[in-house]
Amino acid sequence: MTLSAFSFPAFKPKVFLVDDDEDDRFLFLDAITELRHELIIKEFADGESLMNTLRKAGESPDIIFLDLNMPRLSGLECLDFLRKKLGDSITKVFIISTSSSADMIETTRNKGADHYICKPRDFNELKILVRIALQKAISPTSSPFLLNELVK
Amino acid sequence: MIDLTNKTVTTISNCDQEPIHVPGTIQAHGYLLAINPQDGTVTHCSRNLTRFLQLPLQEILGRNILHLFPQHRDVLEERLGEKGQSSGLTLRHDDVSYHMMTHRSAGLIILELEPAVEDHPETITVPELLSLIKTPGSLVDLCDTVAKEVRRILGYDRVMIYRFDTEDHSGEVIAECLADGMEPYLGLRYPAGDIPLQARALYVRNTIRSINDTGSEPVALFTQPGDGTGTVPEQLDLSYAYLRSVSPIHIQYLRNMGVGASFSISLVKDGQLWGLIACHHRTAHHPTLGQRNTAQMIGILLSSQIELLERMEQSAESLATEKQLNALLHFFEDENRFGLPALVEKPELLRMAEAWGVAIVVMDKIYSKGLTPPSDATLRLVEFLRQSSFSTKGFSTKNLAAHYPAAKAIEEVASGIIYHPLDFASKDCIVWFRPGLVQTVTWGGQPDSRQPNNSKGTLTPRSSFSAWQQTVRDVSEPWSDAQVQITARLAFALRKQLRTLHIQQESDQQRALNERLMAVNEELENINWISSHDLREPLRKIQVLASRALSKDSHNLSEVLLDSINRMQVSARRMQQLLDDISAYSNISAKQNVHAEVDLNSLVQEIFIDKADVFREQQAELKVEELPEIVGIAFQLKQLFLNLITNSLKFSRPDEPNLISIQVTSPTEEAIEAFGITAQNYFSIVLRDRGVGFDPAYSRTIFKLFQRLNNEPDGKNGTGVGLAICKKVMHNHEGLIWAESTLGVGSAFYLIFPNSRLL
Repeated sequence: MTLSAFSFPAFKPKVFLVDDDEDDRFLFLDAITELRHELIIKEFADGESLMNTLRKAGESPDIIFLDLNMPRLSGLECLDFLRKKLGDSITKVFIISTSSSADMIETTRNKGADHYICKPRDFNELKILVRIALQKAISPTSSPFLLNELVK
Repeated sequence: MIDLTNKTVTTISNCDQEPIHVPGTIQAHGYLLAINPQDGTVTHCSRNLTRFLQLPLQEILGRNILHLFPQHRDVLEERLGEKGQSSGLTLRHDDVSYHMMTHRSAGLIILELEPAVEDHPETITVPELLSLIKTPGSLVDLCDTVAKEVRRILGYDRVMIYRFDTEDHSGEVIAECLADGMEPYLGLRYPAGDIPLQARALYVRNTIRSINDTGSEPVALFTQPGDGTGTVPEQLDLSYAYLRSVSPIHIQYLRNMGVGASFSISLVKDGQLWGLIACHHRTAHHPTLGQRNTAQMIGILLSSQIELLERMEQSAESLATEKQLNALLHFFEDENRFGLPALVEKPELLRMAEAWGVAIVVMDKIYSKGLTPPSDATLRLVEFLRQSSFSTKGFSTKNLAAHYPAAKAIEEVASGIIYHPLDFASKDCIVWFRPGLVQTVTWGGQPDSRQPNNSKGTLTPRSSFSAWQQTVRDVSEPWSDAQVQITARLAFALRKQLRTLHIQQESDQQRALNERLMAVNEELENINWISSHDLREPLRKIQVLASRALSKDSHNLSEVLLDSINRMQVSARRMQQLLDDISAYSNISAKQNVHAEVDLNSLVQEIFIDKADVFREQQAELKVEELPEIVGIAFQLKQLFLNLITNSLKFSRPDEPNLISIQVTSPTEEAIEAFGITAQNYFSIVLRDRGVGFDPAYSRTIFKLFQRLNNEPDGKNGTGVGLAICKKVMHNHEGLIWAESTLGVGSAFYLIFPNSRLL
């Protein structure tokens, strides 16, 4: 798998990465960095801190990569809150999870997530998925809910 | 004419068989006639009637009784019509008064005549009788009074009251009243043989008998030859005849004792001979009819008093033992504390039987308390009892050695036992023990002196009556009826308790087993959960990080490092595969599965489509004949066929395209034998391939979890779970899986389903 060059518009998308797993955050950031795109990235280690930031600043990011299985406030709870507070605003919510359960995918779709990414076992695959996700955020095209399907 | 004198020679062995009720003779102090009530003819008569009637026997036998006693026609006619026994009629003949007594025997009327004697003035009045039974005090006191009264009324030199032992039937003199100069027999014991069995039976039926003169010769009875119709018995049953002569052996016995006349009154309790009032006179003695009737009444009164006294004694004792029993029954209800070791420690258990020791034997284990035989002796005893006729009803004795000679060795602890079985199938039981007492028995003569003492070997009674003392060690204090009964009730309750306990134990074991099973299942599910979540995550990170190293820095890495990371990747992938398979395997065991109709044709078709690439790549072929629709768990059946097809494809021969065929067939002989199934209840689907095959020695091993044969093609190492899943799927469908193979030729997998799975 090779990465073809993508061009992005000049604005800097604001990305929130919410994952309690430090390794996964590291890998995710590494993958995103390799895309060499200018982004504003904020990391959150749990759902609660994400909620606090959203409440306080009143700012809404362009993209939220949201892990599901987190302490204190789970991804699903965050998703509920996000969609209730922000409405179906421009913020894209991408679920990133180790679970590939069809039930879970369906639930998050119904709760208003935009796409779903199963955390892959291959770094290159991760890079492709991140790239697709960013592209979706900027210029929505029709694609499957479960982004992994594009990579296989 | 036939002389009926019963000449059966009594030999040493047949004393008990001597037909004493048909002696064929009578005593000399009276006359006897038997009359056919149909026509009034005389069928039998005693020889002395020739003197009485002044007629030869030929003219008496066969004559109508009314012709013989024309002057008593009215009385006789009346008597012949009566059914029962009667007496007290006086008949005058040649200026002499006679008592006439009649009774029926075997369809004939027996008429007895005895000279009427002026009644003895010493008869008893009703108030005297009543005061007699009101005598306060013990049974022995009562017997003493009765003995005195009987002697006063009947006038014998000696009146003694015997009591028979309920176990060994020996008799003991418990009361006595004597004329001056008579040797006392009080306290003496007489062996059971002194009164033979048939005499006892007769004594129960006819409660008084009199031998008026042991010195007189018996008088023969005569009858005519039978008419061949058999309506008239030849021999006469004299069970109820007052004049019946007694056994010559008994006469000899009495003569040996120096007795000229004897009289006895039976004491009967519960239909058993309890004892006798026995009267002896040094010379001949003729009690009058009035005296005899009084004696009979006294006998009945004493019998009823004995019964009453013993019952009162027994009920008082029952009340006491009942308390002990109730305490134990309460203990039975105490589930937390009940147990055989605890039960045997309960003091009530010994107290209720006034026993010295008790042993409960359950499943060859002895729980004992108090004075009991050593355990090996106990077990041998219990085994003896189980095989004896007592094993169902229970048994009690005061002299165990009389029944079980080995008990002689344990007489000091176990001469008396009460035994109650607790289980009819085993030797489980409860036994109470009493020690043998050292006691001195004074016999009225040596008990074992009954020897044939004449040259003909005929039986003669003993002639020695001098007291003879014996020391006995193997007889315990006797058990009372109350004790035997109360212990039987305890045994009954214990039997029920043990049965309940047994059922309880079984269900406890079952419950414990179920709990363990549930725990194991939970643990398995846990392992499944761990393998599908906790193990997967770190593994995924290893894989991502390894791939990251390869993708980002591969040009900076040395060959060695690159190779290592590649190998890490392969290992990680393999581990991932294992985890996937394990969770697939445990998913197969999950309970909540829906059985539905499954069309195997379309199921196999789907698999073929999924695997089409591999088939194409290998140029392999799949041939499927018409398969049945069955009831099963669709996803499991799909997994089954998928695994089998994948397995066959994996073991294709490199040089030749594989051909996989699936068809319905019957189970092979080998499979039928191996599983022990009934062929007609099963059908099978066989999947054959033309792969590399395997050594038939492994035809069972291959279905075990994580078992792999080392002939797997390079780079296609499996996890050894696939075929284990197949076996599990078959198991979930009450079916079996069987494999046959020839190395280098191919394999066949038989899926054996019960016919009930067919739609």
